[in-house]
Amino acid sequence: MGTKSGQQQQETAAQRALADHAVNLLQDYRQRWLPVQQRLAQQIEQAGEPDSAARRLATGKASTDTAIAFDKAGKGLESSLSNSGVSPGSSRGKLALTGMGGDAATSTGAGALMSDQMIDDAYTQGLGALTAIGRGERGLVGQGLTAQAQQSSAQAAADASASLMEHQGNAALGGQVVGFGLQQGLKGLPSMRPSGVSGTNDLPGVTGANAMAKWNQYGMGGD
Amino acid sequence: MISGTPFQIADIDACWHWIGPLAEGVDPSDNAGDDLRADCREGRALCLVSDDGVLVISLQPDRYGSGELELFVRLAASRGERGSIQRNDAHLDAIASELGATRLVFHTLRPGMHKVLNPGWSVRYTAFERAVHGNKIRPAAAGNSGAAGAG
Repeated sequence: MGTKSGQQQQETAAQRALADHAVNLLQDYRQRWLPVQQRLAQQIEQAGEPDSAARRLATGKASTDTAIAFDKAGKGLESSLSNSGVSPGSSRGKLALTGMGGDAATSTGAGALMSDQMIDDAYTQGLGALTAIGRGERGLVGQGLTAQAQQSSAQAAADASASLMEHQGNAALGGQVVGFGLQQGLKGLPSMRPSGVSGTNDLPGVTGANAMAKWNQYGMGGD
Repeated sequence: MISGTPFQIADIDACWHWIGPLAEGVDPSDNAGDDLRADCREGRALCLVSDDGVLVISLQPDRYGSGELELFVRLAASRGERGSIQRNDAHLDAIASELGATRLVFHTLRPGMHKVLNPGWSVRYTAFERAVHGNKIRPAAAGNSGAAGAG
């Protein structure tokens, strides 16, 4: 074996060069992947540290997402209140928007807490993936770190949407209560109340053209 | 991790406390692993670990002088569940492909290895042996039952 015509087969220069090339390729492979591997482990470690960049980034994103989502919701509410006869600058309109501001603060805080929790989850998942690597779970590392941003964004949008609906409802309810209060109050003034009408339109001289002005004139007390 | 597989590059000496027993299962000789460790230290081989176990690989020219490279699996030992050979076949492909190898090669002491390999593997050559007439055969060392191995 390994001989030709009884002589020891010598490795040619080309074969030696190829063998050296193979070793170089192997070392190059190691040098390329080892830093990637170490960086991943380092990132996972760093992501788990308190006040880490990953946490700050996620918290910042949560705040931004909240601001954007609530800005959209605020505009939606203004439009909705205008359509329902509430002037955007009026105290009823302001109350609704102020309420949303409170919700925005709550959502920001919740988003930050959630981001923090999700970084913890990603950290745990990352460590789990490093130790449990080999079971096809390696994708969890990246997924864990990106999912928290997506989910906090979705949460902010959901909070804003819920807040919009709630404050639209509150504003409408406020209008109903004011109307009801006026109606009850005006019961004592029968001479001022035309027959066949009810609610806020009980006010004398209210027409479709001046309803907004009259509403602002009489309707704010209950707010 | 590396090449999109579950394997990580490992320092064979740092991991030898758990790799050693697996290597002995594959090759029960007294100096099992010495050459593996030396080759890894000197950059001629690479030790890769995953949850499933360990691979020690080296890259070398095709033995037929075709000018192509083959990935030689020096050690493949499982510490995990059964089926690790099948599970890691594609991973070996990914690593070998990135290294530029065109063939995967391993030696084994297990005669029934063909029963557990995925389709595509073939026997390149067969080693024959017999006892020397007149000399007593020493009893085989215990533990010649590596879970999966090439040494």
